[in-house]
Amino acid sequence: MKLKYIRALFIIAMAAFAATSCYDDSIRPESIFKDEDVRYTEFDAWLQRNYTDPYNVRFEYRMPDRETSFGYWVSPPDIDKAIMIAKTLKYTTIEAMVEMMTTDDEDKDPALFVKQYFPKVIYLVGCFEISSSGTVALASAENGLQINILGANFFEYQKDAERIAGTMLHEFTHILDGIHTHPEEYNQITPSDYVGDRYTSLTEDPLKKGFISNYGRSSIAEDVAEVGGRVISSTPEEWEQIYAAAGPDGGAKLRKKHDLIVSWLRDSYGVDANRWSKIYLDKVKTLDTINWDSLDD
Amino acid sequence: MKNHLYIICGILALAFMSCDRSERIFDEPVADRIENNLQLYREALVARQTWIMEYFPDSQLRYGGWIYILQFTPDHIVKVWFEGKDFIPQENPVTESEYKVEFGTGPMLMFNTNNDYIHFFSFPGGPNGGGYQGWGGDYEFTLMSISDNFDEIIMKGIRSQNRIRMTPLPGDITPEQYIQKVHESELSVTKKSFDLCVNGKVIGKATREELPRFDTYTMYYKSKIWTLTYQVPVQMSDSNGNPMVDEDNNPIFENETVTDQVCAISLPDGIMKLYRPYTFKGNIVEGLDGQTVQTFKWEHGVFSSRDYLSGTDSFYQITLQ
Repeated sequence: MKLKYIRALFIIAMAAFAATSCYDDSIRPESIFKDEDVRYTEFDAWLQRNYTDPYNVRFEYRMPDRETSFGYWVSPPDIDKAIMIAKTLKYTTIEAMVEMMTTDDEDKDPALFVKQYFPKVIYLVGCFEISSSGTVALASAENGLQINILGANFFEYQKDAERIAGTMLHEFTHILDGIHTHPEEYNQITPSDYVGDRYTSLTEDPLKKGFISNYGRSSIAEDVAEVGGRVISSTPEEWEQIYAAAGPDGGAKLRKKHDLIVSWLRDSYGVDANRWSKIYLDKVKTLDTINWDSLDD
Repeated sequence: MKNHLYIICGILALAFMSCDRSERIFDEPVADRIENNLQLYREALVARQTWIMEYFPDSQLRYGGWIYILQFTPDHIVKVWFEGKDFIPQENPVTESEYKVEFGTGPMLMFNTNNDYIHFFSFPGGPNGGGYQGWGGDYEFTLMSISDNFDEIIMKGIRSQNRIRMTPLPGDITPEQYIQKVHESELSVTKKSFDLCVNGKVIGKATREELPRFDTYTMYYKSKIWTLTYQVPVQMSDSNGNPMVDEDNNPIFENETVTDQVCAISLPDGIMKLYRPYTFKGNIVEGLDGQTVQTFKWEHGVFSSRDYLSGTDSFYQITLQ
C-alpha cells in the first residue's frame, strides 16, 4: 500500500514537471535597445573625429528638455551656433590642456588629462537659465560628468568666445574640485563672507572682501570655481591689478586664494597653471585662425 | 481500482492546469509595442508630410492660439510656416530644424534644435520679449492619439499640458496660402466689441483688447483673447447665508456679473475656434445654463456693418454681433 502511494506521488511529480516544460518563454536574441532614430550629419562626423574618438567626450546639441533642470524653462540651440561653440571649446580649452600637458617624454600621453578629467558630456542649451527672481545662469556642471553651456543662441565669437571659454574653465574647476577637493586651508580665508542666494543684492565691492566676484560669495564651491577659472584666464599682470584694486586686506586674501589654487592644481593634478594660462591666453588671441565654415578638419 | 481512478484524475487535472499557458494581455513584448507605436507616428508624420498644427502656448492660455504648418521629412528635418512670422524678431529666422519621435513620457514628438518659429513661445529672455518662462510654450509633446487614417494627431505639451491638434494640410493648398487664409479670417473681424446674443436676445458683451496686427506680437495675441461679460440671476442670501424669499415665498434674485476669458484660434473661411467649449452659467435664457459653444463662423449680415460671428456647434443660437 505504501509503495502504491509513493508510485502515485512520483507519477504526479513527473506529470507536473512535464507540464511546466510546456512554457516557451525563450529569451529573444534581439536587444530591446533599438538603434537611435537620429540624423547623422557632417557636424556629427566632425564631433566624432574631434571630441568622441580622441577624448571620449560627447558634445550634445540636440536638446531634450529632460537633460536640464525642470525648474527652468529652456530652449534648444541653433545648429550653426553649436558648430561655432564646439570649435571654440576645442581650440581654447581641450587643445590648450593637451598642449599644456605636452612634454618631451614621448611615452606620456598629453591628452590623458583631458581624457581623465574633462567632462564626458558637453550639453548645449540655446538660452540662459533664468530664475523667477531674475538671476541668470551662464553654465552648470552636473555631477562631475556633464557641463551645460547655456545661451548658445546668443554666441558671437568675437565677443563671446572668451566668455564661453571662461565659463568652461569655471565649470571645469567644479569638476576638479569634486574629484580632489580644494585644500581645507582655502575655507579659512573668508569663512564668514558666504551669503548664498543673497549674492545678487550685495552692494559692496567683492574684491575688497577677498572675492573675484559677488557670485563667488554665494558658496565656497563657487568661490573656488571663480578663482580657478580666473587663474587660467587672467595674466599675472591682471592679477596684480586685481590685488591692487582689492586693497591690503582683500588683496592679501585673494593672493592667498590664487596661490592655494595654483598649488592645488599642481599637487593634485600635476598641472602647471601658469603654463596653462599662457597657452589659453594665446589661443584666445588667435581665435581668428579657426576656420568657422569648414567641417573638414 | 477506485484509488487508481483518483490518482489518474489527479494527474490529468494537474497536467491540464500546468499546460494552460497564462493568458497574455498583449501579444508582443513591451519593447516591441513601444517601438511599433513610435514607428506608427514616424510613418504618419512623413506619410501625410505637411500638417496644420493648432498650437496653444501657456498653461493659463493667456497668449492665444496659433497656426503652424509643419512639413516633416524622413531624415528628421521639419520645415515650418507660422501665422506669426511677421513679428518674429530674427532678420533671417531659422525655419528648418530637426525633429525626433522618441519614447519619453509615452511616445513624444520633440523639436530638438532651434527653430525661430517653433521655439518663439518657449525661448526665455530672448529677443521675443518673453520672460523667464518665455511665453509658456512647448516644443516637446506627448503624442496622445492618432486616427486610423492618419488624419488627426492629438498631442499634449509637456510644460503647459495644453492639447495640441494636428491635421494634414489638404493637397490643394500651399502652406503660404493656408496662412494667408488664416490672416484673412482674422482681418475680416473688424470690431473689438460685440453684443453677446443667445436666441436673438442680447445677454452681454464679448470684447477683446486689440485688433490683430500681424507685425506686433502683443497686439496680435490680445486680439485672440476674448472677455465674455454677462449678468446671471442669483438668489440672494441673508447675512446667515440662507436663501432669501419674498412674502409670497418666491425667491429673491439679484444679478451677478460673470466675466470669463476665452482663448481663440483662427482658421480659414472665417472660422474662430475656442481652445475648449465655453459653458454658459445661469438661465438668462431658459435652459442656457450648462450649454456650450466652441466654434464661430464669420457671417455676412444685411449690411457689412451687421456682419457677425455665429456659433456653429451649440444647441442655442449664439452670436456675436
